[in-house]
Amino acid sequence: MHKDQKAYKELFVSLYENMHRFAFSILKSKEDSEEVVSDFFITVWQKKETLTEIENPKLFFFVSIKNLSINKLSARKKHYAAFNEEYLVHFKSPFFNPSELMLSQEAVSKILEAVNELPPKCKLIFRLIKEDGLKYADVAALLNISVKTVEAQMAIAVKRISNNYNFKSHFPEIHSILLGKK
Amino acid sequence: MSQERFSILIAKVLSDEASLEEAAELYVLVEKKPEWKDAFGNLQELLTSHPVSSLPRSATEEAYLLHLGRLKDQVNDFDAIAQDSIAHADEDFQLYPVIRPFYRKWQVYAAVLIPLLLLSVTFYFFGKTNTVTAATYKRINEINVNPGAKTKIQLPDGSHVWVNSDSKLSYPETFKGSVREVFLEGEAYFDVVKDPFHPFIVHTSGIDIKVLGTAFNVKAYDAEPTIEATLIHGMIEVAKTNQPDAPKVILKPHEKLIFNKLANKLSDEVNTTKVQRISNATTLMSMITPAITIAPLAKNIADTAILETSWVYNRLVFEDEKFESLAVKMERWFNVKIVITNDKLKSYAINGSFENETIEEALKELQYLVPFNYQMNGHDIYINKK
Repeated sequence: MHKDQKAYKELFVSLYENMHRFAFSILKSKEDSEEVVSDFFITVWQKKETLTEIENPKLFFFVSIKNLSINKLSARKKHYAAFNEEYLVHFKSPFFNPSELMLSQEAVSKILEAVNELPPKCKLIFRLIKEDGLKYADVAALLNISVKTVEAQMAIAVKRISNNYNFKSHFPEIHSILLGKK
Repeated sequence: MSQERFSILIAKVLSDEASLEEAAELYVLVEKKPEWKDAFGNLQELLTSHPVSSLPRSATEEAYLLHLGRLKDQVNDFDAIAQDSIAHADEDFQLYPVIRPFYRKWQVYAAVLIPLLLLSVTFYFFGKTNTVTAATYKRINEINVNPGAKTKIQLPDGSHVWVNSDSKLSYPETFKGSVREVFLEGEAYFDVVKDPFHPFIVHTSGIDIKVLGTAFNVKAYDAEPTIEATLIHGMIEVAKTNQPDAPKVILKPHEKLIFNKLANKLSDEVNTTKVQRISNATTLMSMITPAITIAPLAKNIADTAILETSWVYNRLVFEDEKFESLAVKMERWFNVKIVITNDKLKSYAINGSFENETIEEALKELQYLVPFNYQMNGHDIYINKK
């Protein structure tokens, strides 16, 4: 029993931020997202015996959050149209660790700016892969798109980030190491 | 080759989605265009850096307590949980770093738990007498695995290494610079994370093995006359430690390279190194051994069935093995000392495998194949003719 509780808490703590963020991109409400994540974890506790049988847990978590969020959305606005695959994604904190890269505050905000200027869908895919650690195939299944689309969107994100930003001036150190000049 | 293709490949490599072919394609592409190499290098630093959490740990803790309140209303097997969690909230939190996303945390748990199995981990600083590249490392982790034990670890780049009995693996706390280097004495199986721009190099006493991303086994025990590198998939490049600039040997999947320490010493004296491919592994024994030999493994068998890597799956497999050399393997496997007192017994050739046997069970099974008696005295085993 004690082991279960501990594992349960660990699971909650380790998933909470990512789950909440994804729910928020659909619901656009902090409180509703909290509730959805909580609902999801209640189901997890109730079904803890069968949980280990799930083949791709990470994808299962995200799909569950998506479904719960959409249900909540339609309950909330009964009179409005159903969810139309519009996600709100905004990168407030960087998807990388600035201190690890020794970046200036200015460099960090410039990179964030480049990411936040990506088209919404592209931004969502980028986040799911880079921050949430999903595979291309998981994202395709989650968003009902093809793997080729994920591939193309990721390429756009990478290209935009590298084009929108002059890396050389902000990564002089890393730059010279990579060129073998050090 | 368009910039589109380049972007797709970069994105895939940085998301760990690229096949070996795609990684190789990007590698070739970038070699031709130095300006793309810069772009890739910078992107790699940026995109493979660990994400930071925007949520303070106290916020997650608070969310959990709130959640427990709601959980209590819906399930009845919960009371104990809440008490327990509140009571242990603080100490629990020191167990995991919150700055990483959950998929990395799982790796962290593994990284925390697995080393508990290790027999000893020591840190020391490399002296200046080591190779030039090694001298640039600050902190070196050293994994020592005792006889009779095995362990699996994860390197800082995410690569997995299974370290066999009686072996030592040294690696830097973080990989810095253009190559990922580790040092091995003994046997290990490597499953290396693909990174075409930071080749992975295993240094042994006789040969260096360089890879981009692949799975392979290296056996380099000081006490044995040969060093072996067996490739499971991918591509590896082998060079002699003392002649890094000499022509390198490229190994293809399901090939094994056997480096003969003594023959190498002899050939070094006349300054010629013979490399030759032979068609049948068993003819190896009967021929005059060159310094480096490449032998194919049996084709079309599952990775789990390959003799060289069977230890990874907890099996000690031997085929047409002399009792004498099997005894050496058993010494490492079971952490015992075996003395065979009779020369005729030593040369018996044996086939078989051990999986969960104790040393006594193993010896009893061997007695069906070889006529011997044994005496066990603690860790020492004497094998006598019947």
